[in-house]
Amino acid sequence: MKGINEHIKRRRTKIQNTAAGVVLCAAEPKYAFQIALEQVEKSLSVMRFFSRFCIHPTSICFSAPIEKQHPDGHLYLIVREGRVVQESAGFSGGKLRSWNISNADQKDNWKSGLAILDYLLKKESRTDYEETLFGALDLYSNSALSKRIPDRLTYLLIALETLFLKDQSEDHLCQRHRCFF
Amino acid sequence: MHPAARANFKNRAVALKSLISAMPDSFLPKPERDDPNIPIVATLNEEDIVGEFEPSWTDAEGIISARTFKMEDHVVGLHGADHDELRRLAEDFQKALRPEDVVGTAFLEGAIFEWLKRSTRSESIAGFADFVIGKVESSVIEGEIWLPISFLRIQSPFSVGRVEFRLITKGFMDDYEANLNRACPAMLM
Repeated sequence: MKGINEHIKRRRTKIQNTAAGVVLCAAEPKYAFQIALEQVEKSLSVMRFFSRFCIHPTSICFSAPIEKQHPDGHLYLIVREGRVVQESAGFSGGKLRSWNISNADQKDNWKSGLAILDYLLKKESRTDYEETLFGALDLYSNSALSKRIPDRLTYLLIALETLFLKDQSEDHLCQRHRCFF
Repeated sequence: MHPAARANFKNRAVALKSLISAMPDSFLPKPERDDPNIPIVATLNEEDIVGEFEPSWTDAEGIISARTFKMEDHVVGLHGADHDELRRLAEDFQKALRPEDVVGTAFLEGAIFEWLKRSTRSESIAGFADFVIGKVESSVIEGEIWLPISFLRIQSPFSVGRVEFRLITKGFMDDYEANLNRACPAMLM
């Protein structure tokens, strides 16, 4: 019983008072998880598009299915004459901000285009253009998960090139950008 | 599943069974290394292992590329191109299953390999397709999958796409704790 109490205590610390993405499934459990993960990541991706994380280049989004996105932390030992004299470990908490979605935020996002993306997400089959649009949006949105600004810029350039380059013959700015960094 | 498809899969499984052979030395158990730099955090004894121990190997991408089992005193199994054939059989079986999207190829590979193992050992088991479909049917669960999202707070539940976002409340966790106390350890997968 003590083991159960410890387990539930750890779970409460980790997930209580956070949001969960809920998906209805009828499948083998590991496969059901894969389906659910894919759906939740797609929905989070379009939601993130409307968040502040996609506006401020130094604002990092840590909201993802738990165990898929880790906040920065640190661990180091200070050693003097071969002996550990100090240890430090913890989160680099300065940039760690929760993503709070109020009812008003959700209403605004819905009016600003989330309703259209919600419709497209639910569509059984999408056109090539809709798929391309989703691909670009996903890249743009995922840039907010990156901790390095050059990586974020690369995501943004690839997203734009996905939409606006006609074919492979056109010069890819993002490739030159990657080489530069 | 169409009877012709069942017969085809059975033929392929029987052909695969004939490929099961003794594993090369590189797949055999190696003597334990006594390296003091490797921290030992737990020791598992024989009584801790539930069921049969079936070693498998993964490639650089983490995909299982060889599976073995014990046959009397020998270690036998599939590896290399033979294991690739097992994977292809699982992929084709998945496409033939109705309803679709209920099981992954990793699960099917495991179920097919179990049939191969038990059949090689001459155990009494169902026909190939019945055995694998039975495994799939008994594994399917129906319900909601909840994926907690780190650092996300919401004022009220809402849906985006096929996902509903809900808050994991204290009441939800209290209920989980009560269920866990009643049904543990069956609930923890």
